[in-house]
Amino acid sequence: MEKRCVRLAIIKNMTHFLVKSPNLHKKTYKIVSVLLWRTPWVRIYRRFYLERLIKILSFFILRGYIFKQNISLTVKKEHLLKILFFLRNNTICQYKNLIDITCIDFPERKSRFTLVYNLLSLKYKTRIRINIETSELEPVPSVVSLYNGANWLEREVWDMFGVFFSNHPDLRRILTDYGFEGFPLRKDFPLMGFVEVRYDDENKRIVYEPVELTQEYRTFNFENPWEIFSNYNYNRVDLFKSIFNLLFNNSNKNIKN
Amino acid sequence: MIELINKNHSQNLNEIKNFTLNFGPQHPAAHGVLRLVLELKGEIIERADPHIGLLHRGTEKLIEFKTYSQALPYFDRLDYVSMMAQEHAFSLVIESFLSKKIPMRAQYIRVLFSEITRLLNHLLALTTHALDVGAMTPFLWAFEEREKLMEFYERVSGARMHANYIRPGGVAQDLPIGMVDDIYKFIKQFSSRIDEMEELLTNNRIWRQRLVDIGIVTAGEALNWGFSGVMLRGSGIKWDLRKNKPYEVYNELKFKIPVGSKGDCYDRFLIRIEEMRQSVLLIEQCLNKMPQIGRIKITDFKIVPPPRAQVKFDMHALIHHFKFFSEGLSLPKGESYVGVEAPKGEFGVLLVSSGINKPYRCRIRAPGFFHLQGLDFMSKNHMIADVVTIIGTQDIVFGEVDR
Repeated sequence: MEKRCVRLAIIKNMTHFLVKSPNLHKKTYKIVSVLLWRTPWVRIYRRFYLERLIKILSFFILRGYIFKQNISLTVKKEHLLKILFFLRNNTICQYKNLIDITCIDFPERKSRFTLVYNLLSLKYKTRIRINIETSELEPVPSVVSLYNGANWLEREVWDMFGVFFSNHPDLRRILTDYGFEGFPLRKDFPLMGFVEVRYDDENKRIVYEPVELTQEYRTFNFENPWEIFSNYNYNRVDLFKSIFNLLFNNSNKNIKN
Repeated sequence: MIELINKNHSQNLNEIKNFTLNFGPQHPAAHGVLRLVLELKGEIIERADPHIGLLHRGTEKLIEFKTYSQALPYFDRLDYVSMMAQEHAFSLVIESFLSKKIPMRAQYIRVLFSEITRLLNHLLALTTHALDVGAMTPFLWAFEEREKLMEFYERVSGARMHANYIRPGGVAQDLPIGMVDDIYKFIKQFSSRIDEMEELLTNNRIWRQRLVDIGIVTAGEALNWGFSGVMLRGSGIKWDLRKNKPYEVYNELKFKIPVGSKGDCYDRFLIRIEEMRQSVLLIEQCLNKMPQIGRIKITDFKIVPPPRAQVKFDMHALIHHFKFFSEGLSLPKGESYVGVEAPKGEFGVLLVSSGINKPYRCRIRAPGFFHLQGLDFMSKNHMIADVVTIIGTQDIVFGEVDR
């Protein structure tokens, strides 16, 4: 594949690109200069910056993929704090806003939980998701020291999935009832739960009893036996390959605007 | 022994303990079911510990057991004063999987109703805030306007609140005849309703004494605590997803984003007022720019059900209709996050699909959850009465906080 666009230098808020003419017969080059913070620049910047980001973080990244504008990197758990610190404070990242921390449960996996840290950079208008993998027994470092907003989010993940966060200032349950047992969003927790609550008129208080259903919970599985997306190739795209494509197929188009 | 007890007793007398006060869950100013444990020093708040989850219904768990079209109505019931904004987020995330562009008219209708929803929400937020602080009249006036807006909801979807109107692939049905004119009539008179509300509140001495310099949030704090929407803009950060990461047709419409300078409750009040005015402008632009005739859904019957009339004579339509309402639509493998600018802030959905007709995991990012978390630092060293002001300014609705 031929390289169409080369970044030359960043001088005083202007970035200079050397661009090859799209017409292959004419071997003309021209230098395109783009103001650093203008919108088209951000678009181009994103491509480069992703590449650069991955170069910088390559030691820590296990795998990553792009799915429809969603950038998602899986990193090692030990390096989580370092990476988030970098993403938060580095000039090219500035992910100052922690949008979300959540967890996805894959019971068939050895380390069954995937924790998703969803970050937003207001400066570059980009989102990135950092994933780590963990199991029930391994604690995850808390990121409250970096993002105050992580406090309740981590409490919620602890409440719903039972992932333990080390160094968390106040790890209590948050959404479930006082004295609740079990972790409701795990895949092995039944939808109906185990206990139900009612007001007992004799005792004049609320009592907890095991769930009794007059009718068994019915699941209707209307799933299609045929392969639904056979003509699509939605397998996880190799990150480096896709970035390479992004860089060298689209860069020319982007510079024009 | 007796001496010892006396000694202890006299020690305890000298020691001044903080007073713990339970605020809620049945307090009218708690905006629903908030149990707030306040640690007081005199009348000054040392620590506020919100206990949430009293309205937890396990929406995320329930959605994992439902098909995508069955899961949609749950989104109305999250933040039950800005219903369509949340349907919008869920519909957008599903469309992001399918890479489908919906027809222009549907996009305009969606924006139109998103802005109507913003009016609905801000009318409630501002006036209940005023009610908590002690002004009853704006509440009564605004609810009349809300009634009219909910009538639009009803005319378009059949339900006054839980509309289930914005659906993956478009909207449920086209606007009824005469609707556009009525919305136009409404917005023509609505700006003077905002003026009336401003006359009562903006320069009101009591209102200003209760709001100015209360609950100051600096820009750094707002970012660090994950605030979004008005809470972020009140602190002077110009960030609005409609402008900065535009979805639907927002990039074709002209509007301004009001930004605060001080980050106190009064700033946020002014921003909400200004946002309502901008919403009125947006609605007017939508009415003018909307294509008069056009589809309101995509035509892929794997994603939207075929029209009822077609089902009567077309066998394929009948099959698709049956398959849509039994099996539902399926999404390819992957995960996707889409956030929209709901009236309260960034409302986002992270959807993980395993390639079947049910979501593997559907994470709902509710803005109110983050704002309520900030109640502790916002109300520190304020008086008890200011907690009410701060809860009001945060625009908390427990449907979305507890999920």
